[in-house]
Formats: sequence, structure tokens, C-alpha cells
Amino acid sequence: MTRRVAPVAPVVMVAFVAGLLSVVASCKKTKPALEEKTKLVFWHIQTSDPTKGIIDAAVKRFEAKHPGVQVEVVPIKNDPYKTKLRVAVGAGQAPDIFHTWGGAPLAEYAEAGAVADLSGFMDDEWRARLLPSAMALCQKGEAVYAVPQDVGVVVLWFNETLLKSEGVPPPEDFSSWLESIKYLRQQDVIPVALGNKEGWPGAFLFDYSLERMLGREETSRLLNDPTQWEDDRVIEAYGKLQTLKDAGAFQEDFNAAGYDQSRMLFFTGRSAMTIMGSWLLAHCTKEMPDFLKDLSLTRFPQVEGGAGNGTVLGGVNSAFAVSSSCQEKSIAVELLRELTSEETLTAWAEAGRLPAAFLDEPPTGAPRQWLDLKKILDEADSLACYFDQSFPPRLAEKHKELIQRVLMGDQTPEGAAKAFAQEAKALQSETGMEE
Amino acid sequence: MKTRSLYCVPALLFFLPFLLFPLVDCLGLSRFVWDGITQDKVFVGLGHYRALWLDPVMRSSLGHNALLILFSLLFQLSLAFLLALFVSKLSRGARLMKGALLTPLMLSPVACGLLWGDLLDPHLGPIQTGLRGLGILSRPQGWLSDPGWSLFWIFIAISWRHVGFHVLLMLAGLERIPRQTEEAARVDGAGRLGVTFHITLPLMGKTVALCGLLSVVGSLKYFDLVYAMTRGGPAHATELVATYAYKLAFDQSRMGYACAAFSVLFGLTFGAGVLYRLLRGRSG
Repeated sequence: MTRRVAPVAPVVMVAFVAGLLSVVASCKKTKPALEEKTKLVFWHIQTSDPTKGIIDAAVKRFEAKHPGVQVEVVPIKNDPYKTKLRVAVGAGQAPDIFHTWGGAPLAEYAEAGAVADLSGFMDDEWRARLLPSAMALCQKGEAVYAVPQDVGVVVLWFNETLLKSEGVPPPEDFSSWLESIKYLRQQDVIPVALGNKEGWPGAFLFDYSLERMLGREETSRLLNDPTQWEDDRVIEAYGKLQTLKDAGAFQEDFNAAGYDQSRMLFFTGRSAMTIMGSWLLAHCTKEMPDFLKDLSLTRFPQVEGGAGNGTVLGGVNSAFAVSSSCQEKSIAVELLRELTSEETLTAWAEAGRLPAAFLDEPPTGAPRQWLDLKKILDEADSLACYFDQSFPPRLAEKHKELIQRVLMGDQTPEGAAKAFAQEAKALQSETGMEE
Repeated sequence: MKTRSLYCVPALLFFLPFLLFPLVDCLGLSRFVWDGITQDKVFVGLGHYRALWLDPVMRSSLGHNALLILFSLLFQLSLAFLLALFVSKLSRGARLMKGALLTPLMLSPVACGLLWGDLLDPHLGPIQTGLRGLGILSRPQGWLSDPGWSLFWIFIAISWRHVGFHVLLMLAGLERIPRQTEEAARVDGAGRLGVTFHITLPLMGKTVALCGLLSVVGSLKYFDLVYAMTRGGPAHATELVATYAYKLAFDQSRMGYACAAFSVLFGLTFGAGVLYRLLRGRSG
């Protein structure tokens, strides 16, 4: 029986391999047809409407203006995006244009020579339209490594109806905030919804506390040399997290809940406040439009006697870089111009997001909270970048881990400051070895 | 002989580029400090393995993997055995039972992780709301954010997903046991427990060993469900070697160090497989 079947085997194998080869060959054959047009590959992270639709519309307008160019738009979800981009760039297969958050992650790609310097392609008029605070997070010296499109600011969001019914005014400073938290806890209301599974929402509390106490200049000095992290004021900022937690500010599972869960607690009226970026507005508009009437916001509480009460914590949520391997950089830059055009960014604002540019006309369709956010951004003395976007990736992860530890009582403020300084020193010695 | 080896070609076409090459590449990269982006790599030899040995997070992650293995072997397999016995004795509804037990396996591990995260939510999840309604819990509990309990809940979620698969394997094992043996034991006066422990269990040795191997290898490699459910947190409390290595590579930009961690994981999994073969070989 076996013998009869055996002669068939080589035929099957040959057919299998031939089939594979023909598939590979046919893939190659289709290539020249595409190459008649200049093709740009564009990766971004807007996977749902309205923002996805706004990007698609901008790309269509660009293609209409440049008939010889075809853009392959690849929307990728936020979480796997970092992984995919790193693998693609590491393997020398970077997309021509790609999304970045600016700050340290972009600087890492710039240092590796993976992104192009766009300064030579940008005219003064275009530059003047972009927010300088956002541009600063995409530049190194004179070189511009990305064009910012969307910014975020972190504020204290509150349920106006709930606070009114409890007779609690929106907090202005840290001590009145603490009083409100204690009172709300007695009333069996979750004072502040926190979704700290990934560590960054808790980091907002720490970053803001330190900024409020030290002011921009002093904080920058520490951020630039994190080996000096064992500082009394840093310890005090960690201490503020502990104080909030001990006062019962957060729901029970704050370190396991994600941003999705925390905003559900807030949108459904189970919690009175939350500390979150301006993007919460877009989520509310889409997921719970009925809650918009109760939704209000104010600045993060001030710290008595602090030097940084005018600072706003925020950063670039979306900027676009051109990879150094892109063959048609000048055309790619034209797409960036369309992505940051008045038309694109007006639609962006109407979706409840903050554009990284000055608009000629205020958007008519934006919700009232958008104007409050814009006011906070415009009136800020300075924009401080989220610390985890300022640190090199390894320290950013340690930063978020230590905040989780302090909040769950696993680490003292002093211990956290020491552990972070140690990690910074370890990284320094490893980088020194690389150089 | 030549024709026979040709049969391996399709498997090799898959194995060489997608498994062997990345594995060798991973081992090679583990000797370098590399951020995953630049072309510059600094040779450190076995330095990363020494660092891993001293790394407290790697040690605790290995501990968590070991606990998962222990729990899986002790509780998950015992439960699967009991369920298989129960299902095999059912005169009606056995197919329905098998279907129900296998349903969780149809869900993707990520969906399972997110589902269990929602189920355990202290305010919005049905488990705690129900327990509070019955008066068993007085206050919402942060089960997943409590480092003492979070790994336990992860184990519950993993068992929920996989127990049905082991039940099916064991049912197949049970069916292979000749009825006469059990009946003969009964005639000789063996009770129900006696038959289970002295006849059924020993005759299912190979099936149980296979389930054991799958549990050990599965617990070592576990990633997706845990990553979706807790991301290895809070503060590494549910970190496994796979989630830690992933974070090292893609969150911390330490690709070389991560490759060393992945290589250790591969070594352990491979070792488990070899040990299984040796033990099986010895038992005949």
C-alpha cells in the first residue's frame, strides 16, 4: 500500500513548491503596475471615526492635488503600534510617513537616524501656524523631526451636577481638593476615578504635583538629570499621591482598571472627578453624549506657594514624521501640510480634539468644553510634557511602575525616589558603555 | 528513504524561516546591547544572562510562572479529571456538557482577559455586584489590584479557558480503558474510589502525562490573556517571563536583554519537553 502511494509524494511536493513559487512570482508581477504612480506608505493610529475619517478626507484632498501620487493609509491600533513601528524600522522597512508622540520616543528615532530633518521643507508661514509648545516637542535644536497635529492637556474633569448636588465647589487648590475628597468619600461617592493599569494616568498626578511645586525651570533640570531624583521635593510629590490614596480618593481597583473602566465610572455618575487629558471630551462625545451636559473641567489644583501654578501638563498626542528612507521626502512633506491644514484641523477641533495649530476661525461645531480647554492651553505660562514622554523608554517604564507601587503602599516616597535615581544611574552606565 | 524525507518539506518550509531562524537570531541578539532601531550593537557576551540572574523582576516572574505550573498541575488537572469522570458517567447531555466546557477555548485569549477584567470589576462587574446583593461582600474589593490576590484571579481565568480542553483529552483516555477491567475490579469488591484510584487513574497515565506536559509548557509560555487582563501589573505582581520580555523589548527598548529573557524561556520550555520524553521513555 505504502509503495503505491510513495511515487505520488514527489509530485505533490513539487506541485506544492511550484504553487508557492507562483504565488511569490505573481506578487512580484503586480508591483510594476503600482510603481507607475509614486507610492507613499502612511501609518497612523486613528482607527475609529470621527478622527479616522478626517485623516482619510485629508489624504483624498492631497491625492486630488497630486494626481501622480498614491497614498497607502494604514491605521493601526494604539497598543500594537509601537511594536510594529519598532520592528519595521529595525528591519529597515519603515513606512514613509508615520505617527509619533514627539518627545523622547521621537528623539530616540532621530538619534538612530531613522527620521528625516524636515526643517528645509517648511516655510515660515506654515511654521508660524503651529503651536510653538508643540513644535518644541518635535525639534532638536534647529532640526524638525515631525510636524505636530494634535495636542493634549491634562485637566481636572468633574461632574458638575453631582458636585452641585453634594454642595462641593470645583477644587482650586490641593488642600480644598483633599477636603472635597474626604467629604465625597463619606457620602459614598467615588471622589476621583483612576484607571492606572498602564501607569500613565497615575503619573499625571505625580507629574502635575511636581510641576506645581517646582515650576518649569527646576523641573526641567531634574528631568534632564534624573540621577538627581532623590530630592526632597520629588519625595514630597510622591507623598502627595499617598495622601490622596489614604484620603480614599480613588476606587478600589485603581491599579487594575484601565482608562476605559475609569471613564465609565465617571460617565455613569459613580465618580465625581477624574484627572485626564483633553481627549476625554472626544470619548464623551462619542460614547456618552448625554453626559456632555454634566461634564465640566478646571485646571489641576494649585499647590500653595508652588512655583509652577501656571504650568499645564500636556504633550503632543499626534505628530507625523517622515522616515529617512523615504524616497520622495518633498512630496511626503506636502501630505503633512494637508494633515495640518486649516480644513483638516477645523474638523479635528469639531471632533472635540485640540489641534496643534492656531486656527484662523474658531470652530463652530465644537462642544462648549472645547473652548474651556483651549482657554486653559492659551492662558498657560508653559506646557510641560508628560514625564513618561520626556524620559528615555526604560526610565519612563520605571516611572510608571514606581507610581503604581507608591499608590498601592508597596514603596515609600523615599524608596521610590531612590529606586528611580538608581535606575537612571544604571541606564547612564549602560549608555556610556554603548558610546 | 528519499521519498519519505520529501514528506518533511512542507513542514520544513514553515519551520526553518518562521521558527528556527528567529530562534537562532534571538540567541544571537541576546549577546548584544541593542535598542532595536539603530544598526549599532555592543557585544556583551553572556552579560545579559548574568544580569537576568540578578534581576529581581525576572526572578519574581519566574516564580509566578512556577506558581502557575504548580496550580495548573494540582488544581486544573484534578478538576479536569473529576469533570471528565462526571461527563463520562452522564447518560444524557454529555455532548452539551462537552460543548459548554470547550466554549471558553473558542474565545481568543485577549477577549478572555478583557472579559475577566470586566467580570471582576468592583463597581460594574456582575460578580462583586452579585456578592454584595447577597450580603456576602460588604464593600467593593479591588481583587485584581491587590498584589496578593491578582495572580490567583489570573489562574482562575486561565483555568476557566483551558479546563475544557483537558477534560476532552481525559475523556478520550477514559474511553480507551477496557470496561472489563473496571467490572472485574468491582466484582472483586473494589469500591468507587478504589476503582478510580487503582484502576482508572493508573490506566490513564499517558493521557495525564500529556495533559501535564501541555500544562507545564502552556504555563511557561503564557502571555496574551495575562497581558490583556493586568499587563503583568500592578507593579509586576502578575508579571510572567513572556510579558516581562515583551515589555523589555518594546516598552523599554532593551531588545538584546529581552532576547536573553526569551532565550531563557525557550530553554525552560525545551527542557520541559525533553524531560517529558525521557520520563516517557523510561516508563516504557
